[in-house]
Amino acid sequence: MDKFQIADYSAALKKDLTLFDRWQVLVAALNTTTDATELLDILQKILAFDMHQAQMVRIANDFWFPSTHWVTVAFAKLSESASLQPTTMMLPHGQKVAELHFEEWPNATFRFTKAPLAAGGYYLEETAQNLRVLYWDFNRQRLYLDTQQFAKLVQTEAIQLAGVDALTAFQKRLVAVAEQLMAVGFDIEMPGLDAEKQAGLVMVQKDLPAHVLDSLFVTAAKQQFVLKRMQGDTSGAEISLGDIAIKLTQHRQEDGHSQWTYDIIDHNQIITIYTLLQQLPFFYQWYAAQLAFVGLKDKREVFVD
Amino acid sequence: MTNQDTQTVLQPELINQLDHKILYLGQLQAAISANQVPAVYELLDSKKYNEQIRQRPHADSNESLAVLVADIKPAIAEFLAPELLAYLKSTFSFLVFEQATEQPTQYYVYLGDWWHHRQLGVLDVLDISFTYEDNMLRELTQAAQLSEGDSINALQIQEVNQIIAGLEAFLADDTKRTLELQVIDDQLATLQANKAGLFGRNDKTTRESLEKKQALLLATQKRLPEVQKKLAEQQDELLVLEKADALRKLELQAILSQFASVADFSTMLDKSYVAYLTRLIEG
Repeated sequence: MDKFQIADYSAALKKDLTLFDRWQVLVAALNTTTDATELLDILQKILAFDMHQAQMVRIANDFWFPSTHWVTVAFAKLSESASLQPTTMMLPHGQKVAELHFEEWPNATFRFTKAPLAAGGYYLEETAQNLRVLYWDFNRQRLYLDTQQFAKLVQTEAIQLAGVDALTAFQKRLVAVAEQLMAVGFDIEMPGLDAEKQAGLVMVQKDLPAHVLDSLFVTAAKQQFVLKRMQGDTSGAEISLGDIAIKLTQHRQEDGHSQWTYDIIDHNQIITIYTLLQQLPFFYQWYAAQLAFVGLKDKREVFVD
Repeated sequence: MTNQDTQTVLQPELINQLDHKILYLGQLQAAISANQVPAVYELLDSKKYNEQIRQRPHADSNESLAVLVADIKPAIAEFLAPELLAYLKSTFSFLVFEQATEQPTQYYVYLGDWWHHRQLGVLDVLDISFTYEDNMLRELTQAAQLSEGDSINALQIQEVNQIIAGLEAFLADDTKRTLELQVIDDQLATLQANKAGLFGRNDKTTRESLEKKQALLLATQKRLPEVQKKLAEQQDELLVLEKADALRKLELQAILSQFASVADFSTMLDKSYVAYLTRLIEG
């Protein structure tokens, strides 16, 4: 049996209290900061914080939260300053990770999960369908949109019920979050999300086979829309939807291949390609069926199932 | 009679013939200079002009004179085309004209400006005539007679869709078959472990039954690539059929938006020579 030393006990306790004092300072700073750089710095310190250094004060209790929780908290702060519509964090009973709720989208909740990548990073995903929206990696300073799953997400009942305005507000929110992160040096790749950047959205596959546009022609015609050949020197096809148009343009390259792009023409700059995927069943039906050819080119390598 | 005498005798006739040609070329030159399009058409084919515009049956042909400008017909067509095409586009707003690369006096005529629009025929600018693709107007007439929602390929599309549904069901069952095979493998392994077991005769019957089922499932699984290939073929076939129907539907909608029937449309198209020149003359 070891000899009990009051001095050693006291020293160990003091060490733990100092450790937790630092922890409290970090959490308090996370709460009060309004600066993106500072927020990310605090978040990284929180994630690097090793509570296991504590010898005497045990951390396995209801007030211990995993890294995904703190990532959620930090994102909520960015989101809060990105939109006039509030972001709410909720901690479901018995869970250790807060869920995010964006006011414009009342029927949906989101959470962060760890990305199964050597590089680390986190996915923001919708909880009902487990559909990813973003990949966020603050170590390598990257924020990328999962265009494939976001296209599926805008088709879900929750966003269909919420309508066009909700999707517009949600996209604006994500764009504003991205702008904050871009300002502090993040690499941002969010194809098609920004209503002001709807030109030259690159498709994944070059040299579209004939059947791809044939099937768009047929799918559109079934719903009384007409795919037309582009006029003038530009090669491609377009569908007119009143004041809005979808253009699919062929860009011939020096290597003999052709790169295809989307242009969504909306002079009011409100509509995005996702708005159209949500609102036009024929367009989504075709997009989903031909995804391997006509999906938006994104940073696919970070999206692992 | 000397050679000179012979020449003297023949001179007036020859000079007369040359005068005719010079007169013809002069008239054509004057008509073009004055932008007198009907006169240009008359000079290019006076028989047609007299018969159809002046309503004089059995008029004489001026083919021997028109031959004089055979080598500059592309240039004459280039002169005539803009006004003619403007008239045709205003009368048949859904038609699209593209100059034929190999024959500049001709224009390909397409129905509509949509994706893979079909060629209705060829327009000859110099005599304002149309040559039609064989089946197109017949198909459109047939499609116009069908009831709302029906189409020429509807039956075939239904059949192909049924085949596709069957093939997709076969492919969807593959997960079920794989699981069944796993279960059979497990059961056979268990039987193998009990080879010297207590229930020899029953085990043998069970094993034989399982092996039979296993062989059947494996044979079915082997058909997968063949079924996938057939599905792709059927989907291609479906797209071809649906595309043809979609094209006909758009073509018909375009025609019927301006004309009472396909026959009325083709009649109007055939009357373009008279309608166009009459308009110019009366205008």
